[in-house]
Amino acid sequence: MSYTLNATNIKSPNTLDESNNSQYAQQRTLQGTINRDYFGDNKRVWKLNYKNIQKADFDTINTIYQLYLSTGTAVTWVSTETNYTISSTYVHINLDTRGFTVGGSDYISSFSVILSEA
Amino acid sequence: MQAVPTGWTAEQRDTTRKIVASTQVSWKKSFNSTIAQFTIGVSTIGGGDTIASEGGINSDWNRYQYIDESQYLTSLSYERNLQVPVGGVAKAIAEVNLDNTTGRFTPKYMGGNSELFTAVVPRRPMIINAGFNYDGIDNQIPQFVGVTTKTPETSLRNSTTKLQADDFMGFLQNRYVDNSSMFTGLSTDTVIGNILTELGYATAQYNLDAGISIIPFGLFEVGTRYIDIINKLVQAENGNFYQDETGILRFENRQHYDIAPYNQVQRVLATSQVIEAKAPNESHIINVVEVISKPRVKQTNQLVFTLSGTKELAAGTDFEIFINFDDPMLSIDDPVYLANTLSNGTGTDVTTSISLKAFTKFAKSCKITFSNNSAATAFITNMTMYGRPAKVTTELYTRLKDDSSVTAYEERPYKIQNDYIQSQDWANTFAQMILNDFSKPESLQEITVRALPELQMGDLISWQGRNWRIYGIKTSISPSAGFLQTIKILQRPSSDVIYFTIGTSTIGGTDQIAP
Repeated sequence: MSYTLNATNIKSPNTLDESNNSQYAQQRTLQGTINRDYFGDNKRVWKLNYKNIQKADFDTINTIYQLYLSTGTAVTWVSTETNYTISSTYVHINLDTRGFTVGGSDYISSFSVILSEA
Repeated sequence: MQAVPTGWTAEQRDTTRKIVASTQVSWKKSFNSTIAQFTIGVSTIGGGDTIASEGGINSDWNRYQYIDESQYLTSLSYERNLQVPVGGVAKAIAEVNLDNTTGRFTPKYMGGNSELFTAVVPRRPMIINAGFNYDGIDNQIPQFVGVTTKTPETSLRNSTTKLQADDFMGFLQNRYVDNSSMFTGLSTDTVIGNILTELGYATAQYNLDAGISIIPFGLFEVGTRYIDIINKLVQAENGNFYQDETGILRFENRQHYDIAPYNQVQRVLATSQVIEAKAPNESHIINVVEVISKPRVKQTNQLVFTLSGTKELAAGTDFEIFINFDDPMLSIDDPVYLANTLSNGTGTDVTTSISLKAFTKFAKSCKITFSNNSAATAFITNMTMYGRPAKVTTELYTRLKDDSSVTAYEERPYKIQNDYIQSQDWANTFAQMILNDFSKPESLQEITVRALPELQMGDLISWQGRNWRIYGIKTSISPSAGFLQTIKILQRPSSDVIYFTIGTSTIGGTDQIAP
């Protein structure tokens, strides 16, 4: 049971959000009806929230992120948790802000990783 | 209206629709005459036969090898409008926006290195299809076939590429007459067919109604664009010439929309489908129409040239004479001449010593080369030529107006000047038809609807209890606005008229004689 990003196990997030991202246009007709035109498939977005994480765990995720940036290729994302499974899905990665909660030699940090289905 | 698959109509009216569109481009313009369209019962699944954009169409543009760029499509639009009020040639245009994050469409001079960059040049065949996804299947129908008009516009900052295209009317716009030619007694469709054949179109690539006009005489002068010739011919009989969604060139005469299926309502628009309806301003109003024509008619053989003065031919030399005629000449007989040793004709007749060495005929002129075979100077003292000119024998003119419209909007004149208009009766009828359609503001509307991509030019639709004919469609597909069409519609008094058809209508019935 684990979370795997680009075939590498990453630390389980403290909290995880899953949302849907559908592309649609909405029109209101003269009759008042609201209609929608959908484009493409629904795409899921995962937000992995980490708090007070060791440097080594951050580095694992950051290495994958840097590889994603350099290659420009979406990576696979898999969850095999007991009650939350995600079959292998190609995702884009965002790793925007890293906040340090403990300095000194540990540099324990908190950050969020956003995975957007490709 | 195009044929649509089962379930299409229900999906189209659904409050939630899933839109699909595709764009294919033949970047390398590779033509493969052996490409065959898939035929049920003949082709094999997994074989090399391609799926045609519409069954049965086997036109040359279908034989290019296309690359499907649909996965990069971000938005697109395309537009087709008939020429109102007089008809003529109509050209469709399209614009496609592609995501270029991968640099696929970035040319080398902008730092691109994709396999496509050497082929990213203008005049590439392009196809657009669109429709709906339902029951898990993408159902698309043809919307546009044409060629890109210029090199794709690439923005590195926005990572986008824009393609702009014309349909094949754009090709006709750039072809000029190389050698002048004349024709007599041909119908409009025959002339158009001859032009298309001359330009290399196969008969499968066009569909021409029988022309109502028989043109007694026509002249294609060097340097004239073929599209201008076709435009004049088609306009003269109030027809339309355009390329449809499937890539077929169509000439439709003025009676085309008066027979089935065009005299039956194809779609009833409910207000739940309509997003906006606009009455155009009164700028379209025409309440005075002038029609002017100077048709040419071929004449019997007659005297077309008489030499004034004399021409001197030195001994043993050739002498060239250029003659310009007032009218185009269908045929010119050899010149009849007399030669004399003296310029006043009182010397010795030496006609037998003067030979006609060369005689070159042009549409409105000729070049004659005489040889003086004698050892003395000779004078051509008399020369006449006979031929068959095409002359303007009558000038047609009509001026009609709608008095009530003039009272309301002042004079809004429209002039038609077309020498292929052949009769005073038709000139009068043509003017009256334009007044009927355009002298009142309520006869035109522009409505924006949730797209009905199967609609075509000339389709009759019902909107707010009235029947309207479509003469323009602008379609756009974008994630921000959706799949929308702005449709220009015209309410013709003749929309509901059923015209007399031989073999179908009965004498004494209600069917009317078509204009």
